[in-house]
Amino acid sequence: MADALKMRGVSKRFPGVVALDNVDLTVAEGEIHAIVGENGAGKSTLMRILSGAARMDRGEILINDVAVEIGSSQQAINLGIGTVYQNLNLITDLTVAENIYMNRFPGRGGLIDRRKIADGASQALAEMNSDIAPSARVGDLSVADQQMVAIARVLAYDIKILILDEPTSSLSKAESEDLFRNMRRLKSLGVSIIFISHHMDEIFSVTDAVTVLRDGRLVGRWRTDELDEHALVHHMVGREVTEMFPKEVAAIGDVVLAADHISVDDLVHDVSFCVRKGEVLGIGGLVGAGRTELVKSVFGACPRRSGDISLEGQPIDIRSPKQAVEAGIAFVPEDRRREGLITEFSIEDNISLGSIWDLTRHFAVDFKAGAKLSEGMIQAMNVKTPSRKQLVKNLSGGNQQKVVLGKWFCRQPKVLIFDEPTRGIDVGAKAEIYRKISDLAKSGVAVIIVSSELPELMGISDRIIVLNKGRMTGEFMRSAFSADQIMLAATGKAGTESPLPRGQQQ
Amino acid sequence: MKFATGNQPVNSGVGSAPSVNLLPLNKLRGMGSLIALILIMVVFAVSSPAFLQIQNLMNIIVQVAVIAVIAAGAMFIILTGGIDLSVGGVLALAGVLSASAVRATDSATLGIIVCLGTAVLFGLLAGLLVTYGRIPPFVCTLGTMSIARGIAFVYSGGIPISGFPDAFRFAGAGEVAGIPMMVIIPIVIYVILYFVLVRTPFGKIVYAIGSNEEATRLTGIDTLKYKLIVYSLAGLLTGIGALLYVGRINSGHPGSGIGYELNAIAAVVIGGTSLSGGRGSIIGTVIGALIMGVISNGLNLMNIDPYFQSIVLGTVIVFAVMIDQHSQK
Ligand SMILES: Nc1ncnc2c1ncn2[C@@H]1O[C@H](COP(=O)(O)OP(=O)(O)OP(=O)(O)O)[C@@H](O)[C@H]1O
Ligand SMILES: [Mg+2]
Repeated sequence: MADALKMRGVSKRFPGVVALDNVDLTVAEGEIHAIVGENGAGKSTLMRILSGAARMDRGEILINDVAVEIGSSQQAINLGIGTVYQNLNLITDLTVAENIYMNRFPGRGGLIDRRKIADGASQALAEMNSDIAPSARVGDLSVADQQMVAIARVLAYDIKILILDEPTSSLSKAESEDLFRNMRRLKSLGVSIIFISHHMDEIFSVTDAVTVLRDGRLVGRWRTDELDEHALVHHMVGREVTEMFPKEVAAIGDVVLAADHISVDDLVHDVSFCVRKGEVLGIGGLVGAGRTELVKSVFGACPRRSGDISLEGQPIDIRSPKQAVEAGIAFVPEDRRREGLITEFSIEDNISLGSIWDLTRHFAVDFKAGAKLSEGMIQAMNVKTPSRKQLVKNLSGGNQQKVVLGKWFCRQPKVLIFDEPTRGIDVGAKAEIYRKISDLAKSGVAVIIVSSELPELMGISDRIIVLNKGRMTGEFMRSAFSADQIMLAATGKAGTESPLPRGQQQ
Repeated sequence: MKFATGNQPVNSGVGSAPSVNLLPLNKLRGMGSLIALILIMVVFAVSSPAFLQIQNLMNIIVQVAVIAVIAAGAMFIILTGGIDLSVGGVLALAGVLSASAVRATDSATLGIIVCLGTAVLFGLLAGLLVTYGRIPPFVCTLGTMSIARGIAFVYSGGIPISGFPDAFRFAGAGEVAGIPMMVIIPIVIYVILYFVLVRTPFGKIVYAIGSNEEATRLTGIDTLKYKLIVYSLAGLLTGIGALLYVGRINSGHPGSGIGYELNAIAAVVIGGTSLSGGRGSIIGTVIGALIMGVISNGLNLMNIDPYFQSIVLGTVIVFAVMIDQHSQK
């Protein structure tokens, strides 16, 4: 097989950071090639260089053994390199079809041919086994659907090399499988695919070869079938990751938060749950089951149609995030760039904003205290950054996620709600975050975790409730966790309403 | 609590963080405009000997005082991602109503209250419409501009109301120790606002709202409340601008302040503030206002036709913003 792509001796520095140091990458024609490494290892940077979004300081790129210059995204596309970035870069106010045809609207006499782009878009989506309406506004779609649109947009060009930077981080299992089917289809057409993921099982099920990066340097390149998961993780982090789910069962106390008969628009119907001091409550279900809306409504971030909430036995009418935060409820949203962080702010300013009133003395923000708080967070979360003054937009995806988590970890609320907490976090750091969540519960915080990853949910929860199409379809105690039962409940096929009596309320 | 594993000594460099700089140079965007201001001043100093005299420099500040004060409010609104087109109309209305109140009662205090009160009420109104009414700021303040100016004309019958007691004119025409109040007031205001923007939680929140309103809201901050405060504050500053204006020309005129909204926005933008919100510095806005004042003053000294001045000013706006955009990269 010919080498479709060779990158040789690629180096790239940012102020205070060596992002890439003399890295090689070779991808064969029709190969699915994984790039793995810890958060901040340089994976996205390498891909941004290949796709013309960043310039390398040193190194060379050969396509079919011909040296090429890639100075812009347009040049990359002309060379047959298509990219789906970690943050999708879609225009949320335009429709699906318009996004897919961005830059190359087919038209007559300067007018866009709406029929043609709608037909073309629905065909492109149909090939990917997706039923998204071409006329939908992208901003109204779920993250998973947006992902599909971003891929369809790239595939509409004549692509020889497809770059997918963490495409599955916001996809459900089934959606990921759809994506893998599409990847294999493209592979059979001779397209080379570069695939970045922090999910080891995906690396082994879909890729042919792996390149491992660590701290901006090349660790090595292997055929996937030469490796097992243990060896791969070892290459990645350079040490043993022993315990993935360091769950310590804490003493579970009284009910802290109880939500009764919550309904939200058409998305959540009459769901009741409670969470106790020291308990980790998992909320499972498929993407789109209404889990995010449920927790957001408890946090006051999206309006409830009906339902009552009580905190430590007292009824409380939470109508805004401000009320929730003042009452001691914190929420880590799933979409870090849109809802979790101010990417134009530094790490320090993001952390300070989360505790702004605690940091205020005599009308002025105490910068020293803010600096101390953020230095502590950077250490505790092991955020890879040259300084606390670094703008969050310059951090790698996983490190951004650590900042979102850190913003709330340092506040010790009564109830802490996580929506997909480990999205984009590397294997080693994940275990540390699970330990932190476990420690948090042990210190008496009531924790709620929404997650689409079943192993994660089963690994850290004391109890799991499952939603399907906005209704609660199951509740499981840790002693009775069963992946099959939970999946059945998530797909709405479980026979019984609730395998166990609900936790007593109040 | 500490992670036992995963230390990454290679690139992490935690702890080598620079110390807090008191003058946040990274926030001092608008370097392009500072360079432009210096260049322009050098050109005028060379071509006109009168330019650098203290008296003339003070004149420049007096000439830009009203716009500078209004621009400070416009800047807060722009930082939150909004815009305010109503300042000219509100300035006229506040001027007319307070002039009429002073004429009727001879009370400077009442005049000041009416002047500031009118402007704050209009700011509050715009704020309510933008936040709870969910009307885009551009449309909303286009409406309130027209309403305010309309009331000013209806109320006054189109006739200026002139002749006030000295106490009412003090802000616009008074002096302390030989320094005009028109110089002192803007400086005091800018010093206070600098502190507010750089040091207080309110300032941080203003930037946060402009950068990512939803993330700010989910942090537990009542973003609508702060936007309301920002629009009201801008109203107050417009009111102070009106007080200076009316005092200086000794007349409340329903046709006054035409085009001030654009001049204020121009000062903000020349100063490097991003029209999409979240980025900008108060020092930049001062420089922006000064550039506008220096240009018209210098060209006046050189006896250049006012229409030609407007061409020069427009060119400077475009260039200052361009230099700023490029120096950013
Ligand atoms: N524009 C930038 N300015 C400064 N530093 C940057 C910039 N982009 C990336 N970096 C730094 O370069 C390093 C590599 O980042 P990169 O995004 O390539 O990591 P990654 O391997 O994709 O990590 P993740 O798994 O978290 O997505 C990180 O330390 C990051 O902070
Ligand atoms: Mg990345």
